Amino acid sequence: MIYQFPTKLFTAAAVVLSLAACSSSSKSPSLSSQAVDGFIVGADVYCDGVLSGVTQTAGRFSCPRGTVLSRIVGGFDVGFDTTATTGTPFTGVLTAPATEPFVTPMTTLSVAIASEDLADGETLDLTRFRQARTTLATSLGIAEDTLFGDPSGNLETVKANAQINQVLAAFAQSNDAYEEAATAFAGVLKERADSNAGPISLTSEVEVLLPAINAKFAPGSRLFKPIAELNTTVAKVNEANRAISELSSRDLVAEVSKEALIKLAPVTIARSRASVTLSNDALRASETLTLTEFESDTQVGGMYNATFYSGVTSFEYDSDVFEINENVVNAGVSMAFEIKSVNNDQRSLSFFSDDVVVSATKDRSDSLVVTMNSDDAVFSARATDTAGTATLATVETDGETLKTDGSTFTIDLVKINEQLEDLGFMDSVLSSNGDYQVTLVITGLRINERMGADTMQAEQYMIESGEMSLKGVGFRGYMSIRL
Amino acid sequence: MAFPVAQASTAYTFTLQHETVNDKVNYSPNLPEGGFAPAEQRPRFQSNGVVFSYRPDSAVRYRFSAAQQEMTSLRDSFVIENVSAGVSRQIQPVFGRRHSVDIGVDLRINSADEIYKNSYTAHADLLLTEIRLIQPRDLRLSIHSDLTIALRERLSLTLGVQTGLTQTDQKEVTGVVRLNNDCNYAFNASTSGGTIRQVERCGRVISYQKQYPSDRTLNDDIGFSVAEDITYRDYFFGPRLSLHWRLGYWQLNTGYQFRKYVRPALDDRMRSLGISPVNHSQDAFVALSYNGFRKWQSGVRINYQKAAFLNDIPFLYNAFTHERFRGNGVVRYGFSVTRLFD
Repeated sequence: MIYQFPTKLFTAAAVVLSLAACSSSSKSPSLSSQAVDGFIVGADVYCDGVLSGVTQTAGRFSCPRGTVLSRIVGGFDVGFDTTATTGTPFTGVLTAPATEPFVTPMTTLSVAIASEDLADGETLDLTRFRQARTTLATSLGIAEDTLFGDPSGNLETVKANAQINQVLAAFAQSNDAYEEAATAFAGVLKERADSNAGPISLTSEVEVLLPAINAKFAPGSRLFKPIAELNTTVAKVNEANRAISELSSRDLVAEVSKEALIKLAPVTIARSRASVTLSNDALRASETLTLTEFESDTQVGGMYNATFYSGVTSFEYDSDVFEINENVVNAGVSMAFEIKSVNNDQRSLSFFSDDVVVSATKDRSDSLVVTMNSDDAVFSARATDTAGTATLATVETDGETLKTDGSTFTIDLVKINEQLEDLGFMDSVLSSNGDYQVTLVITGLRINERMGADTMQAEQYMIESGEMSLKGVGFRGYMSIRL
Repeated sequence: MAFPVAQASTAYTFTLQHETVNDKVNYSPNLPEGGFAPAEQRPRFQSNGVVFSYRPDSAVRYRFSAAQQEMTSLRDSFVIENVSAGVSRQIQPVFGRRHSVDIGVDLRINSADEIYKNSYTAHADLLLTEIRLIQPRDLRLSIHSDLTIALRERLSLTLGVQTGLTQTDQKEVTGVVRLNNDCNYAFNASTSGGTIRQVERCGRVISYQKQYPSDRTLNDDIGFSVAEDITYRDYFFGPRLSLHWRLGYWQLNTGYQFRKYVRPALDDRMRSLGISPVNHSQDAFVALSYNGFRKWQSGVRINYQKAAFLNDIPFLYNAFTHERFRGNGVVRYGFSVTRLFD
């Protein structure tokens, strides 16, 4: 997620590492590191809880000298391509001491292990982290040098990180659940090490590992899986980790990992049977098109398939467009919506929010609930008129900005406009003739896509509006307004 | 302000001069946290400068000057630098030996780092709580033509006209405006557009910003335009007359000047907002100088000005500050010491 114009800062978990000594005698003013699963690019970088940019190519980033904990959120896994800038959405949070050269699933687990048994306010020093690494190596039966070797150069390290990520991804449907999953996983591994029961294999003991992690969650918590769902997940992770263990190159590991993660997605977009309805609620006018018709950028007679003869006040995506593969419980996601003129003028209208929550019941598309986190939900909007004047605002909402009623997922522009009352947002785009591109993007929740019988990585779209941007899965359609 | 200098046979002169006004003010600026700073009494205007003149022959005179001017009001204080250069030529005799004509051209430039108006100003529907001109400057080109008539051996009369044009400019205008929702918005604007930004949270609106790509879009939206409200060009003209009396080492001068200003764009803009522009100035003076010392001359001067400083510092005048150029006149006092060089 690369959404700026921040109004809230993500805070690190209550882990503060104090360094016994700097590991580098360099006079560089910053600490450099790499986020690697495959390389994670475009992820938000938090240095001691302060948003400090995004990861660059090959997952590189830096934090100011003196930072104790670096944290990477979201982004895109590009495999081991050192020049790629986009790839498969990475749903997760990786952490490591800022002095570590790499931030990986392995360092994330080590931080989680090191954080166990910490009293409130107690700080974690580097010694504990080193001890945690040893505990991790012991509990997995893998040499510490291998576990913490070059995560892009050492094949065994690549495999171990990929297998750990498969386990975490099995429980973490969204970015905000990843750390919770890591804590549970760390608890299981620490108990294993403390009990001298011998190492647990990431390849052959998945059917032991995942239930143990699941048992760490209270029934009803968002990460807990009922037995049937757990068994399905065990089978998927077992298949993936076994396949990973037998691969002979890091690129193959990246490819197999990616395919496996796609299968773990709790939500699938079924484009072939989806529909979207454009409405003007005041005039009780509406037009329903298939997603294919809406997504076509071909004009006939100078107009798109979706042509409206009054202003549009809402976009409703039929809930059938989403297949729910497993329960989704209060998954925090980021969402953006944009209407942009394609007629060589600057008119556009866009909305961004990091405070969206998604819940759904397995196999029930009509159970989809998308809401704003009403406690202190915030969204940002940007509009540009024909003269190029840009209006930007960040507004605290009343939690009613987005709505689903089970049968549809609706972007209600009237509701949004109510939040932006008197700020002059809506008139610039929707009350004038034009041809527009309409994009909805969601990130932070693992979503794949199905066309016919094939499940694949979901189509990604980017919304960029001024200093704000968001890339993720979603929909892009086209409409014409003729008043 | 030009001091009379007897320079019939002097090639170079160097003058130090100081000016002030009779009007003092208790300067007490607004504090950022609210309230006012302790009052400090200061003259509303004072200036310190140097003038250098060179006369290669009896007909031609070159003049260069530089001054630092400080202006103070109840809430504001700022420094304005001034430089000028001019050349004049005397033509004589024209109508007879008792007449001479002096024609000349002058270029004056005022500039400052920042002019900060730290007091409330209503403009259209806006309440400006502060406004700054960043790097303001003006450039004034004037041409004069003076006819001097020797009435008696020691008494002469000068009648003249002056005309010219002025152009003001600034890098940027910034400030804070309060709207009727009681929220404050900071703005910065130039002739190429600007930005308005909500200063602090206002109700449920955590942040708000509007970016204008041109001066026209800014004006269309909020009724403020740097190009039309701040920057201007004027044309001025007016008559002047003075009497000069010499007795021994003493010289007494008195005179009057009227100047009419025409600002095609700014004045129309102000009238459309219901504001009467200040479009003329008057200046009367009495000056006494003594050159009893062979190489030195000293002088004092008193001016009474209406629309004070409109002639001296044009960029101070705009659609927001016009009211400061109305009302009562100002009495200015000047002192100078001149060194004469052959």
